[in-house]
Amino acid sequence: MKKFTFAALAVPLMWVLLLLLFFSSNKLHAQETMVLSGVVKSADGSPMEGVTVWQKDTDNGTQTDLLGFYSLEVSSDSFLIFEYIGFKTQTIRVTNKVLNVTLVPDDDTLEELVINAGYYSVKDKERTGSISKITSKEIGQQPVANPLAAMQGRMAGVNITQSSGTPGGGFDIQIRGRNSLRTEGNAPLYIVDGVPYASQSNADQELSSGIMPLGNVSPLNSMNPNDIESIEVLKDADATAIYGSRGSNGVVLITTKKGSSDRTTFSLQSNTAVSTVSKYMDLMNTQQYLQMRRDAFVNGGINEYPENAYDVNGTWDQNRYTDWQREFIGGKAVSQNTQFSVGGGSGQTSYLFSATHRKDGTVYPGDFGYKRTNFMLNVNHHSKDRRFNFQGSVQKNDQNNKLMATDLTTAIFLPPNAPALYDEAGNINWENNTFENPLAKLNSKYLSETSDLIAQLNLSYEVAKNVRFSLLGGSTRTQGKEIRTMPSTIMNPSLQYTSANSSVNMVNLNKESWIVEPKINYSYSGDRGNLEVLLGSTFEERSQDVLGLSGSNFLSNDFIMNIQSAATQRVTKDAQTLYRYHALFARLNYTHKEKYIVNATARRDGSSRFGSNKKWGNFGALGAAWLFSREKALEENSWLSFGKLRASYGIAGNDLIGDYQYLNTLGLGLYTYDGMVTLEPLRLYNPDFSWETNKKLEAALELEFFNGKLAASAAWYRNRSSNQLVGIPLPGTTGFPSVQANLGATVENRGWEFTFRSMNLQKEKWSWNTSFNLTIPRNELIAFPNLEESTYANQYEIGKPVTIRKMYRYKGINPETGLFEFEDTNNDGKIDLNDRSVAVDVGVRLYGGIQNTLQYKNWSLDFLWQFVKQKAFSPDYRSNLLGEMENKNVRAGSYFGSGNGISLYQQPSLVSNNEAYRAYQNFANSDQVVTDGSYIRLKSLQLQYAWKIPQLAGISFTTFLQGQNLVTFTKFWGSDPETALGFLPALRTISFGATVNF
Amino acid sequence: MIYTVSFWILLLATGCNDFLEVEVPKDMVDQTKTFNDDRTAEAALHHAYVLLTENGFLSGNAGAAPVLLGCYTDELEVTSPAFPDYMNFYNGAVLANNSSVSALWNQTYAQIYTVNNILEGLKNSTGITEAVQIQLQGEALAIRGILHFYLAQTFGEVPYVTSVDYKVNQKIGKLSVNAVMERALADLKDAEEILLSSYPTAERIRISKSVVHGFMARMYLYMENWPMARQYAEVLINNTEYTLSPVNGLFLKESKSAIWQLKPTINGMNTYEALTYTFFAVPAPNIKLSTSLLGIFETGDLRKTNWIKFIGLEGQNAHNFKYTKMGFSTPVAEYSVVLRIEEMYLIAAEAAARLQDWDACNGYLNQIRSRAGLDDVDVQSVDQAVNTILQERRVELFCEFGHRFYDLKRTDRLMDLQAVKPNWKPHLSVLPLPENELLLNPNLLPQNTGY
Repeated sequence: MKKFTFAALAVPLMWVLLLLLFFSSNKLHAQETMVLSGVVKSADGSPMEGVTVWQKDTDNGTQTDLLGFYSLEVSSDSFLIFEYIGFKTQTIRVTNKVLNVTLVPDDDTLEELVINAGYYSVKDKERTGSISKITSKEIGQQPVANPLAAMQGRMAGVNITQSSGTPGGGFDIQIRGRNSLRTEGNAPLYIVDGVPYASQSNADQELSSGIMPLGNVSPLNSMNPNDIESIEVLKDADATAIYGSRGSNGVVLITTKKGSSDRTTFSLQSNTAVSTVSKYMDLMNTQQYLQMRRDAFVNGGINEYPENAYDVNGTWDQNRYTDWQREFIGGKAVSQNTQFSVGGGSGQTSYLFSATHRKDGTVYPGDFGYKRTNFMLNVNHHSKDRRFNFQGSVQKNDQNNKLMATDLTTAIFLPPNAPALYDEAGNINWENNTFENPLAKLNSKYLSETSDLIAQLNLSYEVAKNVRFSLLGGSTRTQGKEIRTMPSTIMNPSLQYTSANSSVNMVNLNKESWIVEPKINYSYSGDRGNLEVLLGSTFEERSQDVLGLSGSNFLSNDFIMNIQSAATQRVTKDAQTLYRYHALFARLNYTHKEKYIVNATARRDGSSRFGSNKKWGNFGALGAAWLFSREKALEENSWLSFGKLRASYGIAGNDLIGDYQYLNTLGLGLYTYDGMVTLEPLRLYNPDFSWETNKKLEAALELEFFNGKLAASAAWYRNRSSNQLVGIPLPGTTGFPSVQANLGATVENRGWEFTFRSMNLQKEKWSWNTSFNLTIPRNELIAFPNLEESTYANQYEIGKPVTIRKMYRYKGINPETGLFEFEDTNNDGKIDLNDRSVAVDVGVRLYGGIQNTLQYKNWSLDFLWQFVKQKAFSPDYRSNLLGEMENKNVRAGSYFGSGNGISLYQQPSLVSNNEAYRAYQNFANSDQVVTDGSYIRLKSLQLQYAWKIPQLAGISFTTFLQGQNLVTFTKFWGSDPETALGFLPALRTISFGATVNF
Repeated sequence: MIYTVSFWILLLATGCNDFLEVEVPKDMVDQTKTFNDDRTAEAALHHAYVLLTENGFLSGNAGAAPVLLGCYTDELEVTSPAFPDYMNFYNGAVLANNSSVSALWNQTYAQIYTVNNILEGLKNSTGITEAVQIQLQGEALAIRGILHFYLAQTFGEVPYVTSVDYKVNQKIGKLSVNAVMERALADLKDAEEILLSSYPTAERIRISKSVVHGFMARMYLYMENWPMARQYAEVLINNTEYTLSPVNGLFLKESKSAIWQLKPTINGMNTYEALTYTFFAVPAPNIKLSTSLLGIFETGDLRKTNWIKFIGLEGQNAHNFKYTKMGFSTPVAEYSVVLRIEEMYLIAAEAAARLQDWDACNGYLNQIRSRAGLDDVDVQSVDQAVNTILQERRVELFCEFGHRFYDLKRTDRLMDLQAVKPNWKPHLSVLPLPENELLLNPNLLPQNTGY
């Protein structure tokens, strides 16, 4: 019965409200009328044609003619609204029969900036929550494929990292830190035009993890950044609690571009970009490498090189030198992006259609690349009386990615004297069977095709005065197909594999979702204040079907894409999941005297991801703001133009755990026994887990000076995420690596966010704007009952961030053995796990960006510096023993006994030397491999010129030059401090393009 | 319009909870249901056999214990660093964070969980045929015993897991090697009691009473309980179902010497062993048979000519050729033989020698030798017998499930490996407990000596 309390309360309340409103609204019509007329002019005195003039709260309206003249019959003592795109809307009380109006251009100051908060919109100045926004202006013509890339460095509290430079790859986004102990539990909720968009990767991890770190493919790859009008990120409780169990990690609202009803505009944009690896590692050359290898044998007391030490025993030419980085990732990736759009409309209806095609090459050798085609249609309509509104959109996004199955970046550490990749005849060179040629791996391909369809409809009707009922409906469909081929040709020919050994894996994915959200909005403006009430409900369903096929033993490798030609065909997966979600939500906002604002939100929601007695949860928040600059004492202040204090507190939740985890079931096994299908235990049974909850507290100060020429804000937040829903790691003796359960641990994310904006120069020909954001996040595990006895004892420490790693304390190199030494913390005479005493935080300590926009006549220059202070793993973290057959960074040449200055590394050794091997393994787990990964990067630079050709009036032509990741300052000695080790680093991109509008 | 609104409001208030109930998806089946039906219960057990075939102690897969233990001792030489763990095992450079060690540990306990879950499910099942229930219980118990036996022999002191409750298993402590052996034996005895002597299906790919007897014979041998070892080995030797096979057809699926085979888990495919060991050109891409093994065969040993294949000209490079069919064939020719009658002859011979029954000892030994084309031997002392039998076991059972390692270990001869591996150390007689495991369950401390 408990489950119905919210609804039970809401229903009678709504009825009362509705009836009251219905009767009150009838009073409206009993008033006198008069004919009003006037002229509308722009600031320079010229008459304005087509300005919409209408009486407030009625369907009574007209438009100005060629001379800016209008006349309208209105009721006396009413308000008149003047609206024109690009100009500030004016509302004027009717006093005389003549009303002349001058409209001023909307210069996009904060005053009119309206923020989309998802279920409602709010004026930026009057919002009580913490919301960051970027618009199409910032997204601009950046040559990026993923909208998240366009957000990097531009928002306080939003940390985005690119995990691989391979096209179609992944991004990691964290809004105000890691709340969940599970990596996958930290994804935000994405909402595109009101329709939730799954945050999980569409890629099958098994097929894609060789080329994409962790098989992570960002679901937002399908979106064209240029179709986006704005992206809002909701951060604090006030903004996110209305998203209930899904708002814990923040909400990313994406709004697509809409057409304007002004005139028909065609737009054509095209750019070409070239991307390259921005920095190569400084690897040893042949002499340095061979010296190191020979020393390893000397140190091992081995005089005769073994048969398989091809690099030093003379099998391979010892005078060869190849920088394998240039061979494997040294190419130029060419990208092309072309977009066409047409938008327009008349009066009440507008539309926008856009079509985009994008093509990305890769820096790898071979014919690989990524293609995407986007179509989008957006239609808006309102009835003449503006009581009815319609907005609908359809998007179709197709992606096609053709890559190798394993990132070739892993091969850059080949010995520098390894043989040529091709023999004289142009075939792959196996050097008489002594060389595992990495190029052979290119024959193993990873192909992915994804097609998304998003349709969305938003209807609203003003049922009575101030009462608007609206209904959102949306549906998405994603079809994906992934193929990974493993032809026999990837193997050493000495194995004599034939197409009988070739295999292919294929996964077909079909995802569908729908959402229905009815809601009702009531607003009341009185003398003392404004009241807004919102009530709504969500019904949502997401289903997924996966069919996995594998084939092996092919007739011929030419048939490898056709499973029918495989002698052995298997269905590896035939699975479905269904997720249902239902919620009721409400918002109450009261503004008193335009100075004091209270905003209360609540949501009760239920999710099918939990067991029957754990399905429902309650969430809510309270926010308040005080616009103190509107107090009498400050109103006349000449320098302070705006000041606001705001604070919020509330609870949001997190249900990102996958479906059916509470069931005690067996699933179909991958293999058969005795020709029969098998059933395997899927997980350890625990039905009693529930929401992860995140209690968020925030306080902020927002200020503007000198008429908005300077603006600054500071926000402090503290989020406490508890009831952690985790796969608690278990020892292998339990049969499983983990069990799904709620952990009593609490993770706190707190920090400061600062933003600063200034208009440094505003002249007729010149303008210069600067904006700056800075986030100082702190993460701390504040509670963890029985941590010492738990399976996390060696992973976490109370009072430390959850991003710590426990490592050995590096002491230096023992001058007698020439090996690394570590601190024996417990003095038991040996170095083992119990000596991993140093807690090293590899999390981010500070990040932000500084953006400048300069304009001179037709030129505009925009550049963004991104900065991150963090610790990162050096390439040593994943390297093999120094002395074995693997190339190393030049700095490793300063090893013990090398005579090259101070020894940084132990003496080169072979794995047969137990002590040396162990010391090196410990080294890879010591604080010595965690280095400064901070960087300052010229993330984006854009130079634009708008051509003004008198003969071609009505046509605007713009050319631009764009750069991405142009310069990076860092002490990090690996390839790139941002991307994951072992994968292709983020690329440097330079693009050139043009836009024509007419 | 007011009606539309009220319609939606009504909708809000009703039907919300039913909406959230989702059915069990089509690729899963409820635990209770599984064990109330003969076929689904059997499918759950089949999964245990799949796991045994795919990984752990009884798998022929690259990276599973048998090939690693072959590198560890003197059976295999590693020719390429492509599989780092082959190299590490070969060099005795196995550390507590070795990924193959933790994989072996985790996979074996996952196999044990699977059979424990079957035992748990069968305990409360209704609707299942009693004969099936008993058969499945017997097989599950036997697998549990066999796996713990291997764990104790490989890792030393280990926990004996009989529950599916993770709250118990995550804090479980270790037992002494003897205690593990006793409990494993107890499980096998329980299985012996309820299993039939015939196999549940036409092939020898499931556990029958004979399989249990075979493992009991081996376990008694390892525990140096000579009379019992001999008794159980002779039960099988005297069973006419099992006959010594000619050397050249021993690993075929129809082989009469096989007591237990694992059937490949992919339809139409032959064994993993063939894929793991075979190569066609020199230098060998990963591993080859060691020079010391190649040199130990007596002249004219049919096992050398049939089970070893030389590649190239120099007579230096050879691979294990016990399994000759690689990849797919119609029909499938070979299954992986986990337990075979030849081992029973060798167990009986060794036990008889320890009991000083020289006639029996020589009789069993010479039956093995004569079928391999070798002359009879006549042993008359324990030392001589043990030496001869170990040599015989080495050439008979090479590259099969780590026999070489366990034989050297139980006869205290691991240090002999120093002849070919100067770096060999006494502590290598057990593998390290996986580092991560000690972190997650401190009750498993201390780490094995030397690691």
